[in-house]
Amino acid sequence: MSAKKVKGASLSFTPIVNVEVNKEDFAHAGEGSSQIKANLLKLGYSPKAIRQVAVASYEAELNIVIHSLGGWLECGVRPGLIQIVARDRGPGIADLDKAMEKGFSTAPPHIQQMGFGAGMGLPNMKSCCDEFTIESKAGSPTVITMLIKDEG
Amino acid sequence: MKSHSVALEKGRCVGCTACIKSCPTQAIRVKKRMAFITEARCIDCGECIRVCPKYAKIANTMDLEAIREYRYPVALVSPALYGQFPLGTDSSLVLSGLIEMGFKRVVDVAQGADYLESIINGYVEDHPDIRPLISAGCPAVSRLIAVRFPELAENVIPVFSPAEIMAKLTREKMIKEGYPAKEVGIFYLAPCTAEVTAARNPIGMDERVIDGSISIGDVFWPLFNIVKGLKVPVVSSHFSAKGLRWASIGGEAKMLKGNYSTLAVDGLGSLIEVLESLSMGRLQGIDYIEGRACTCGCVGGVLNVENSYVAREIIRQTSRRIKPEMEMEEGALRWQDYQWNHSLQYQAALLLDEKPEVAMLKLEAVNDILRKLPGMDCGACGAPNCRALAEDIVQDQADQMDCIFVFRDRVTSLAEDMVKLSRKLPLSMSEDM
Ligand SMILES: Nc1ncnc2c1ncn2[C@@H]1O[C@H](COP(=O)(O)OP(=O)(O)OP(=O)(O)O)[C@@H](O)[C@H]1O
Ligand code: SF4
Ligand SMILES: [Mg+2]
Repeated sequence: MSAKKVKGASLSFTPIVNVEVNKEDFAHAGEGSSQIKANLLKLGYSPKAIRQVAVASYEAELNIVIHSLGGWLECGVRPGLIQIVARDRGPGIADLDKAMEKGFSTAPPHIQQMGFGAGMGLPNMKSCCDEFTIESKAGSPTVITMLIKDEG
Repeated sequence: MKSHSVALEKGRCVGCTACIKSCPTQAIRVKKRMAFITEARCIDCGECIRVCPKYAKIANTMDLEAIREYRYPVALVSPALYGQFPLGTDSSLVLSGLIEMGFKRVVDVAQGADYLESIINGYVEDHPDIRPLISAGCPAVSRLIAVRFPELAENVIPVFSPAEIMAKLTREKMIKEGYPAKEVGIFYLAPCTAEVTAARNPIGMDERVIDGSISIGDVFWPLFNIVKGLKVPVVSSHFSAKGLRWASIGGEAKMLKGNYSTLAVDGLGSLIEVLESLSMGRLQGIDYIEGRACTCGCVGGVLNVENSYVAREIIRQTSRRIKPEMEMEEGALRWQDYQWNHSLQYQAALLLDEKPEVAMLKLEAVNDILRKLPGMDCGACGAPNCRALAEDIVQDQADQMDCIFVFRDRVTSLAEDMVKLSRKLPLSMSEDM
């Protein structure tokens, strides 16, 4: 499933962050996104792009923590373009269309008590980036690739 | 003129590195047994002044003598000042003491805080699309956002602080009363270095409205001695409990009238955590954030003399003895009349390089070096952590040997080489054929 094509998306990106994200590790959840943000600030990306990246990468990172068996969060950059890749070890999403709907969530009550599970993560990721691709099926890893343009 | 208020007293600094980790923007390095502050990164929060065991970090404020340069010096009194006096001290006597010290007029910033109520309420109502809004009441917080969280700059409410509101109103009033503008000098008795810098170099404005700042710590003892001897006040204070409580954390958030959900966060550590979550899009449903760099709010300002918790309690108890709210004679103030000329500007002080391609190369070099550093973040090199040292190395400001672990390993391997060498005799002396 993918949306909106961005020019230059097929070119290579220089990796700047690659962190492992552990299942149910709430104590460190968000650190990867935080690192990505700090690095983009050092590289001179605009506050607007950083804001979009921060939201998109955090939601992806938290989904790995909450819904997956663990995975990785990566960020790569090119001039004017930022790529975020979130991949995990499964268990995958059976119905992607459903998962993408606003408000759909399978988060159990104890997760909801922590303030997650509004079913807004995936829709927010999609609206924060210029190109959004998600690949997943039941029993397989989920891979999300997001591109954010920085127009200054 | 230097624009910062935190400075280093060179003779006192022993290069102990106590300050480097306290800095929220990693602006301090110790080199050759001396601390250096990178001006572009400094947000004047005063944390380094607080932690320095040698009192080598000092505040760049004016002496009381400076008020003599004006014929009509005005004291702009921070409400935090009232938290320094013993409980039960009459605020009008404190103000009268300032008149005795040479001020021609005294004005309460707490009164400006009373006026702020309608300004922020108006702004929050008129901007339903920006949530949460972040108070600009603490200049250290605004500067922190400008340097470390520029993505949140548009959430900051771009209006005057209570001190600026009172400075503007007082000047207008005195000019109307016939005082020559040049002879009126407005001096802020400030609780912190952040406010001192903001007076000198206002955040959202091109022109300053305050002429100078004097540290509360510098006036307190002489003032205390005068106030002790006073019986009858010659001036009176004009503020309500609400305005006075603005000096403590939560005081501003409580001013919001609607059914808003607010967070009042004090202390830079907690505040950074909140801003971090905010920038990740968490904290949904929060409408307003009152962030203050100091614990307990401005009563905890670095230039104050009293313990922040004690000062907060004094303010709380005092506020119970005065009128709860201010009756607005001239009607509520509109935010439009007290708006900054420009929004909070991004201060790109953390950039590795102006040119994006070069910045990218430098970042890769930083990551390469970082892999060779021990990751202890011990600070012995004079940088706050290994990453900061790696950046300094890439910027030609430091050397890998500044790391004591890298240095020790190098010495060990050199020593081993020496031993090996010493066993090798020159051919002329060698016995084996
Ligand atoms: N990495 C993943 N692995 C497996 N399932 C996932 C993954 N990411 C999302 N899902 C599924 O998609 C659903 C919707 O995800 P989304 O991020 O939109 O909402 P949420 O995580 O449940 O709640 P919120 O993000 O608002 O806290 C999840 O409840 C979960 O069932
Ligand atoms: S909280 Fe108040 S005293 Fe402390 S830095 Fe901010 S404005 Fe100054
Ligand atoms: Mg989610």
